[in-house]
Amino acid sequence: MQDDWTGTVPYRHGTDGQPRPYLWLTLTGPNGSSIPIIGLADSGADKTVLPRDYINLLGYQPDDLEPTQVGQVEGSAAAWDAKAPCEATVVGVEEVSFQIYPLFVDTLDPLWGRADFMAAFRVSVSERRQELGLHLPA
Amino acid sequence: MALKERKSFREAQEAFEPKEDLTPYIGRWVALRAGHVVANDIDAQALRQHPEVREDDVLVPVSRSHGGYFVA
Repeated sequence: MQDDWTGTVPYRHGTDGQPRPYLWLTLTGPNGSSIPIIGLADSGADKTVLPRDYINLLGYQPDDLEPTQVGQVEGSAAAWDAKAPCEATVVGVEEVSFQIYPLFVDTLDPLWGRADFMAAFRVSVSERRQELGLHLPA
Repeated sequence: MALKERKSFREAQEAFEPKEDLTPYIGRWVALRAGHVVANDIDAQALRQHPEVREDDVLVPVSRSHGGYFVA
């Protein structure tokens, strides 16, 4: 399949020194605030996961959130599932917008997941080139 | 649909990148301006209230590592 568009960004190093496929997105929350957020493209995340502090930064109210539990490597954890969406764009690709219903957890690791980010773009990783690729059409 | 060339996409992403080592701030939030830390706090809401933090500064959580499987 011929791509209409492909963009790549190099892996960036986390605080542990390991290079990984991070990407900047801009999220606009229910309060209208637009926030750039750096997250890891993670095909293991069913949907986008954000640190809990983003609840306030994006303007979510208690009625916008459904308490739930999530499974993770360390076991289960409390989480808050958004019932209202954020409008999202990838920084540098503002022509393509999509909705994210984030899952907020006690973590400091934003993860871009499959149900939202990876539905808007076809995503590739090249460990050899240390590059994250975005492709359209999805 | 007129999409940006690959180079400008990459440049837009790089513009937000931190320009300094964030490891001293692991477990905290930092406010970045032009990639440099202007303030830090354990809590994002508290950080937003710091007098030196502007509305357009980028607040970033600094994690130790990814929560999934990773090579230590």
